[in-house]
Amino acid sequence: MIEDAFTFFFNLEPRQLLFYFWPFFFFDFARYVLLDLLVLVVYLPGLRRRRRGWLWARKRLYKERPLVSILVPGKNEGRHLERLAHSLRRQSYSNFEVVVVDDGSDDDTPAIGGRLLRQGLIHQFIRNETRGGKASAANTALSFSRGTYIVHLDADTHLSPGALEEVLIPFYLDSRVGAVGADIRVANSDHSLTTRLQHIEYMKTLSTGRTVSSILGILRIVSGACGAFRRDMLIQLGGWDVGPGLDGDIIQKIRKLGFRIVHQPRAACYTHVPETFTSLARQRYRWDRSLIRFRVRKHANVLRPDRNFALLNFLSTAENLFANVALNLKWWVYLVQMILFAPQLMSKIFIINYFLYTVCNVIGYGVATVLYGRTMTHREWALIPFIPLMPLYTGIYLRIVRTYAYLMELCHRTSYRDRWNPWKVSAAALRDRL
Amino acid sequence: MSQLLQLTDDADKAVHGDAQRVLAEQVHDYGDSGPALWLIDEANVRDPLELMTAVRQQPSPAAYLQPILLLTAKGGQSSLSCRAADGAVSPESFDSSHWLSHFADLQRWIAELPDPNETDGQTSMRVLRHLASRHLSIEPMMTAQMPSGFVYPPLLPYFGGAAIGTLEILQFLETQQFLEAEFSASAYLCFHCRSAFLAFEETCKQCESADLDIQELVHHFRCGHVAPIDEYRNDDKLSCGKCGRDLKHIGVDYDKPSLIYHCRSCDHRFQEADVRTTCFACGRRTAPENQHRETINRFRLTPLGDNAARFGVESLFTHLLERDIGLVPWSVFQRFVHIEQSRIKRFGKTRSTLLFLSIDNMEQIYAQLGARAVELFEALSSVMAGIVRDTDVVTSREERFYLFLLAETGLENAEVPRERLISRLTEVMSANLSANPRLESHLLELTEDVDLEAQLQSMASRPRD
Repeated sequence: MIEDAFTFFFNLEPRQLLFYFWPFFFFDFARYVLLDLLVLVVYLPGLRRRRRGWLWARKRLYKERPLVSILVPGKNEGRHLERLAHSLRRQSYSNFEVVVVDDGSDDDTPAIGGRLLRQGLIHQFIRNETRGGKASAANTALSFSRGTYIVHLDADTHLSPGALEEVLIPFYLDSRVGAVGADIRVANSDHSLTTRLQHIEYMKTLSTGRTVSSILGILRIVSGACGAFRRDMLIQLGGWDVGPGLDGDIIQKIRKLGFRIVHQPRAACYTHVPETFTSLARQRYRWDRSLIRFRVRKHANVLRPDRNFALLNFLSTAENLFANVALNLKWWVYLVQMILFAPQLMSKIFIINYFLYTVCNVIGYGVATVLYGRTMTHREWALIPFIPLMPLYTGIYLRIVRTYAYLMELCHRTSYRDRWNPWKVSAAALRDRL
Repeated sequence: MSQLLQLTDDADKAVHGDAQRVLAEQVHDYGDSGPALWLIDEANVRDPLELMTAVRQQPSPAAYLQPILLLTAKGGQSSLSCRAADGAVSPESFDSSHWLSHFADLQRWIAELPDPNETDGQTSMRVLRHLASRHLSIEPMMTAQMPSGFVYPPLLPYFGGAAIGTLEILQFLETQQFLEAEFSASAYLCFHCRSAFLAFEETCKQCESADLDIQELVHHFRCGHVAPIDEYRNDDKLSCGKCGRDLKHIGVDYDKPSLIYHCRSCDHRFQEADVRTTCFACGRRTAPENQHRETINRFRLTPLGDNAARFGVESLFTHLLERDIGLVPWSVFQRFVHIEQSRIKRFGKTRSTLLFLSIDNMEQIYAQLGARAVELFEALSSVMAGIVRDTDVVTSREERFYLFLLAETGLENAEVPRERLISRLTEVMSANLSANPRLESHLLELTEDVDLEAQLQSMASRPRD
């Protein structure tokens, strides 16, 4: 069967090759392979060239020693706080305050937070008796913070020792930088197949993908797990708006103010990812709907050629919509095409496509390992046997979740009924069509 | 000689604080026992409490236990002096015969004491006898007149008019099971001077200033904005500083998730203020957790306490057993057992048995029989004396547990005296008490690994009805 498939593939004329495999050759090869190679030809060679500037910026950072406020909003996250607090104590940059906001937890988070406060491991612990949602908790933390820079952290993360320094340096390299994203890596990779596949995905799309977007100036998201911001800019924006998807939303608002967004692959932040396919589907369902809610609805004005038009903002959103909506739709068109025009060849076409995308994943993984450099650990190397599963994971599983999320949000605005936000907040957002 | 003695501090002669000398002159004619009723006319004395203290510090129960009546023009009962006395009445309405008959029971109680004219040296015994003679449950009273903040007024004269030492004595009597404590209140006392007058103040964590402002946090649902309520105030309405909308309905547009402190001194904002206490008396400042937390109880006399007040603090029953069967102290008994264990281990020829006996309702005996308890104890003691052999060693713990070392007696042979002991004790107790006696006993062959304390613990942990 496999031999037949490859015989079929090698006997195709160029016209037939494009007819049967146009999604790969026209879109995905360019997107997954050629763009990733930018890391090898632009980012990495430039590191040495930029080193002097980096050292100068680091010197300025340590000369100024600005106070950095680390905001940790969350509900029922007490069990993660201690590990996070200890990872912060190991940071090379030490002039920071930790502001933890307990968003109406109903577990032992208040007791843990109180203890860490008494131990001096955190500096502020604010307890909200009623849950207000992620945005309100982050804004509460922001209102209690005093730092020149704000670092937003999820409680279930921990940072590599130099991460804080690394996310601050871009602010000293370029005054137009408004936000810096850390490199999000998977902390619980060894737990299950789900976490391992996510780890490979994070290496490719978050580490490499965001580095490429950053090079191109179209980075549209800084993960809520770890992102650094200028405080004056956040105050000007009034902090975070109601989510879900508030981390992408605030970056869009920052872009509109004219600031640059930077990804910092050397600032490693380890986070816990969903451990089962069910919980992962729930998470992605929430994330994917925010594309419709924020890019298509709330921030659609960046696509309009009015007096506020900014090309990079346009490209950022256009790329996002094209890559996620259009290319997602393309697969369903492709599937229909195959059913109509080549039903007897479908198994061979599937095998070849599987092979081509596996090769892409291997290349993507290879680029990521180069980008990780010395920070590669045995856990990343242990992922190699799982790379062949990635086409099933991204091509089928995630695609189905994504398509369903887009349809539900477009047709029913289901994000407004998500339990991720308290009902009172969702009701207010829906009432005002936010 | 009158049964009444009206005390005066003779303002012309006595100096303040010399009440004892003044009293001594006035009671001279009464010998060791005092009058049947001490009268203190508030109008003629500078400090009634000082005179009451002098009375209560008389040496013999026949004097210090006598009732004190305060003649007070106010006629009120709320002052500390009134509550420290056994009664208060206005001079106009005072009727000596009424009050003498009123205190007749108390007089009888004093007269029934084995030694009413002997000196009572211990304050604890005086307190116990005071409570028992008046069948008094003693309640703490809040007062601003004493540094401790709480006093037990009837006991004040026993402590020189001050509250110092009262709690310690009451707690000691409680540990002896003479008093039963019941929670009434708790108080923080200064760790240094034990004053109850502490100023509590919330302070800033950063600069320790007490100049704090409490603010409500407001969360605007629509835009997620969170800020102190003052930042939302716009004339007479609330407006969001982020999105400009008016906040109309709490629960629909906004809520107030928490309160925060704002330090007006250093501008720090925080949610949990530090608390500092300052003692009004000595001025020392510290955190509340460093202060002394005292539980203030009300106290009630137990039957054991009542018995001790009448017959002395030593246990009546064990006293009789010492006389009749040579009850040995616990430490001596342990020594005997240890020697016996060593002997058995070394020679392995002899067998000895331990008999454990518990009498659960000793307190009921005191409660039901009162002064007649001594007769029952005599009977019980003679039962034990009839069964215990010269070679046996007996001890008791807490007047409830009795341990017999039956030397050279095997387990099967020990069963006979055990059964006899239980049946005779039951017989005597049933005849004298309304409720059936609760006697428990068991035998244990003495081996080298027998642990007396563990055995007693095991018996004590068995539920009591």
